[in-house]
Amino acid sequence: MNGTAVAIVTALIAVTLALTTYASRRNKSTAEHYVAGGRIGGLQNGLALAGDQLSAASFLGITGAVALTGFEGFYLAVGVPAAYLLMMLVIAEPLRNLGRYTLADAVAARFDGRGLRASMAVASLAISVIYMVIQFVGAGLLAQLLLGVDFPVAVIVIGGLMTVYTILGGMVGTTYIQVFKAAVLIVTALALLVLVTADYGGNPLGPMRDAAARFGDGVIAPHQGGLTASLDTVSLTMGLVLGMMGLPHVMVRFLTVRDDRAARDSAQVAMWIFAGFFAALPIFGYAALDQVGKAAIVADNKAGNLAAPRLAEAVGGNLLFSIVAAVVMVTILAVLAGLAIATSGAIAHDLYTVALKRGEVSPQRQLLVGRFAGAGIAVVAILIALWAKTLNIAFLGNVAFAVAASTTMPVLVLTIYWRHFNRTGAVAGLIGGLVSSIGLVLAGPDVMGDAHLFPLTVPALVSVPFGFLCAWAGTLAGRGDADAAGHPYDELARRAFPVGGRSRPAREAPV
Amino acid sequence: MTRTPEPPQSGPDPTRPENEHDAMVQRHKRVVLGAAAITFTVFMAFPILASFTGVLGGVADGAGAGYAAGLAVILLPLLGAVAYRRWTSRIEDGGPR
Repeated sequence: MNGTAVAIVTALIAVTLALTTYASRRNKSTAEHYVAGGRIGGLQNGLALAGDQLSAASFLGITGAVALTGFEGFYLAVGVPAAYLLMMLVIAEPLRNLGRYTLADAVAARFDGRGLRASMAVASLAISVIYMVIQFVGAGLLAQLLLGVDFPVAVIVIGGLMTVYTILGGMVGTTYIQVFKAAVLIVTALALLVLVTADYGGNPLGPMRDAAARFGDGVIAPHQGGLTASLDTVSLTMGLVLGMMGLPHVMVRFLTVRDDRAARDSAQVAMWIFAGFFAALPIFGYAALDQVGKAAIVADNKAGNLAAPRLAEAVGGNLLFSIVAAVVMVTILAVLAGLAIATSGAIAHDLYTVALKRGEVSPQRQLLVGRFAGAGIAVVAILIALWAKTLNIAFLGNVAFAVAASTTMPVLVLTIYWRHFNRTGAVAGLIGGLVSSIGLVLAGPDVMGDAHLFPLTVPALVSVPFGFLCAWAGTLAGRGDADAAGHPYDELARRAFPVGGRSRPAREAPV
Repeated sequence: MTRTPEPPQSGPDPTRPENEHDAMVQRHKRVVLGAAAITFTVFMAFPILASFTGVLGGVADGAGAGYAAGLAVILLPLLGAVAYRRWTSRIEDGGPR
């Protein structure tokens, strides 16, 4: 066991628990629990968005992928700023003005119907649970490798912490933790960048140049690997850039801001952080290749997930290794906290309060159910993670993005922008997108191996157009149903785009 | 049991005629959807060019053309975000549209 790393992890977790305790004084109502009362400012939400988005998969996964595969790993880094620009342009403000606690609220602002609400909640749950399992398994394996803690112990402790954050702190506590995590991750990455750059005479391109000199130009150039591999790359980046707009735990952050301006400001703050962070990852990847070596990276972990901590060790000794390991663990906790809030909202608000109880639930009971849902989903995710330990979960992240890009994203966009869209189309889009994205993954090479029926590992290239197609076909099929038409589109558009008017004020806490 | 209270709603400037606001909404939608289409197209050009062609395969003095293009793909959205934020803030502040 690495004593220094365990001590730093313990100290950082103590800070997050202190933040949660402080936040618990503000977590007294349903609105505060799910969306921090809608009072978060632009800078704070931007940092929290960065805390939500910059996962261990980004930091460790991309660094390792660049170190082992060269340019192929870089594809994962380039899409996030573009995805956030799309989010800022298309969804952030209308979602903020139409939604309340969950993504389904924004769709329900136009279309009534418990079936649609339940479908939206199920799609949100599918995306969030996949994402949550990845975080749990990744955290367990990393805790094992970095800290010397057993996998089941690590998963249960992390699940327990996630439950405490969610029950006590709600979205207020989650926001504080994500801001804290973003700050420590940025400082740590910056320190690593300074040390790495100093090793190359102050030239940030030094690691790339050294790698090209030692391993050939091919290590820093894109590869053409045949039609299927190229289509897979295009599908991966398409799923990433479009799927971001459908990720419940990311999009729900736009429901926490006080007004439209804060929504835009927060997206922009997050984009500046992403630009710096993702531009630095290839530098870390090539520096790890140069200083740690491919054989040592693979010996630690086949996917290269320890390339970044090993690089830290190479340039800063055990202290920097321990700091990076601790920051990675806090990173996972912060992402899990956001996921738990979004998931508990889908269960307690969409499924229980609206779909099951038709809204006839007192605010106190809603809050209670929301807290229990957070604990319940933690138990479920822990059990799945314990079972999934031996599975190769690396592909699940791409699956989560592809499902989001094929289900929640098309339905949100069409609800906000297409005048003729109707409830039948929304349900058809959700079901078609969910079935096609998951079905194609199950029929693809990651699950079926050489006997695969579908050649791509990431189905977005097919499932996203199919999701839109189902929504369009469902809309045509439902045109004769007056109930399916929903509320008048012009009224919705005026609420969604209060251009030059007022955006909805912060949510007042129900008594 | 009490029904969940409805949140306060957003809406247009009450002093502005409804049809004028609707026209502004239509214009806003055209601008954001057009900008989004351009963003998506430009972004997707990067993986398509990099994986299907050799256009971004050049290397000069240890620096790859693919990384230069990738850096542009990372940084260009920032310019778009700054421009959009300024445009919307100007409208909200009552400036020229």
